[in-house]
Amino acid sequence: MADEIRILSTVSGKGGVGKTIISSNLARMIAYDRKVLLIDFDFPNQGLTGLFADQVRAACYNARELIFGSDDIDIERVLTIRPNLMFIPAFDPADQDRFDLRIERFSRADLLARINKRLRLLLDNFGFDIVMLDCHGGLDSISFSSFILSDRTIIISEPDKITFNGTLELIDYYEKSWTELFEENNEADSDTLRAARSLYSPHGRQGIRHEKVLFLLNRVSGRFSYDGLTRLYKAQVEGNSAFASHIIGRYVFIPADSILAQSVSEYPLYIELAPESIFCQKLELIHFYAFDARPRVPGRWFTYFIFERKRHRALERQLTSVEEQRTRAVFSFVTLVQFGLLMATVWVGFEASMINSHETTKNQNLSVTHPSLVASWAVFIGLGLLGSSWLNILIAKYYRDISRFELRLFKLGRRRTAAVTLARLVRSVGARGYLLVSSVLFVFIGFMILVAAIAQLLGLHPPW
Amino acid sequence: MATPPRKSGPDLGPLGESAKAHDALLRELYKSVLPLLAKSDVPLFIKVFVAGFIFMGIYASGSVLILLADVATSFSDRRIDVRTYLISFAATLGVLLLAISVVARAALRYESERALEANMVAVTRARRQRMPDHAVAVRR
Repeated sequence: MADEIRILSTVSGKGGVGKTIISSNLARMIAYDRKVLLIDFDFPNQGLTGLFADQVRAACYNARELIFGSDDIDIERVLTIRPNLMFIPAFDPADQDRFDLRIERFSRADLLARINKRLRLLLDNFGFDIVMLDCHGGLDSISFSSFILSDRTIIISEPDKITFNGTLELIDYYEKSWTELFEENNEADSDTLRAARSLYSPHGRQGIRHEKVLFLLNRVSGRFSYDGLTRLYKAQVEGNSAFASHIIGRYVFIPADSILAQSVSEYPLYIELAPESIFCQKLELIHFYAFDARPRVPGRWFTYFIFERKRHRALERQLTSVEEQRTRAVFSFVTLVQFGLLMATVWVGFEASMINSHETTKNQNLSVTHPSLVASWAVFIGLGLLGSSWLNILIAKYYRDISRFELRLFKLGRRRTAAVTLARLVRSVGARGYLLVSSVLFVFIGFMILVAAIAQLLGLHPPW
Repeated sequence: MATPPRKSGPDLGPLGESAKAHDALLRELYKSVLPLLAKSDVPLFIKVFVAGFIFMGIYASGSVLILLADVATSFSDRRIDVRTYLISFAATLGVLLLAISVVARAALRYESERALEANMVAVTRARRQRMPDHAVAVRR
């Protein structure tokens, strides 16, 4: 995928799959290095327009104007939401006629030609490196035009029956629309389509570029394996459609992220709040697949480079969310502790009975501080402490993520009450500090106890 | 009629019977379970689980027999070394728990993927009934 990428689009067969969040954050990531224009083509839902509602002003340049208005693009009215990142919302919020879009007045060929012309104008005349289109989740002509015109399309889906059906419908719709467009004596004879083709048809008659699609499966979990999901989707999507097989190049899986879900209502761009997160690293992967280059992502703590950065292969295969890993660790630990306690009780009970029978033959009383008993218990306590330390570190990671999240929200001015933020920070930082300090102590004490106990059981003296 | 001289030590007859019953049960079990290992469509984790299951069968059965023999002989002339049994059972139980959790994880993935596959196949089958006969843009 080394050829020049100028237009990216995100599409899906149904709404609610995370298209808006992915396109906005990906646009933000690309904007660290390039000048990006993000356009909300989701006229029915206006996802991006809602996400950036606090920055959308009346009389701003909007997507309705871009497609259905004149060729004069008033760049002064285009919103700037970040350095290098400009945004065209679906509608001007003051537009009283915004529900009367009348897309049906335009043929597919007309729409294709119009959108193509305007996007070329934006790219050639206003210095944008990348135009990113967030389309409607479902089948519509604007989504089709975006798919045809973009150099890379991200089809977003989820691992369930409903979304799978929607995704297949979308791919079929694209195939059918494209085929009909080129049928003889149809719209193919129109001047506008010819113009559109001559403007942007780099791959001749077939038109649609091979492997232009990144198939993104969002909100996956550890219930699936990377190999299993890839095999399934290859077989069921590409195996049933030659067209799908032609257009799909890569599969990317993004695990669910609870902090991301929480952040949407607080701040529009998650990667600014959590550039260390798996979500952000997965977007880096998409960036890499699209542009053959890793983006520059600022604002990461140095701990990211030591503890959190995933290698390429591990990142590709990561399907479990951090939260899922923590839950699993807690469950495993509880099971292990219970098993250990059961074993310790049986073992110590047996040791006590043996000592008891042995000592009473000598007419002596059994002491609870008998070295063998103490050593047996100590083995389990040592192991328990080492396990606790491991668990504490995992839970401390949760507090690390939360404290980073809160701190960045505060820095970005999204926390109005400093005292409450401070209290939250103190709580999460304090909890994390306690967990980390106790982990170190647990490792130290657990290890010492374990060595002493094993030495005692073997009849040796500990090395100290 | 002279009665045969009584052997010293415990009567191990019932033990032999129970050993034979164990043997027959295991044979029946493995006759139905072992062919699973040869099937190519059975996933690897199930084969590993079956192999472990067979091993555990032999192990548990053998342990019970040894324990029974140990108990029987302990009545006459010696003490049972319970510590050996404790260590053995603790180690086996630990390994078993670990194996079950690993297999359960693999099984969960397998089941989830099969369920998803069944859903996908249902969707593609339903779609095939209403496939339009328009020409496709790109053919393999």
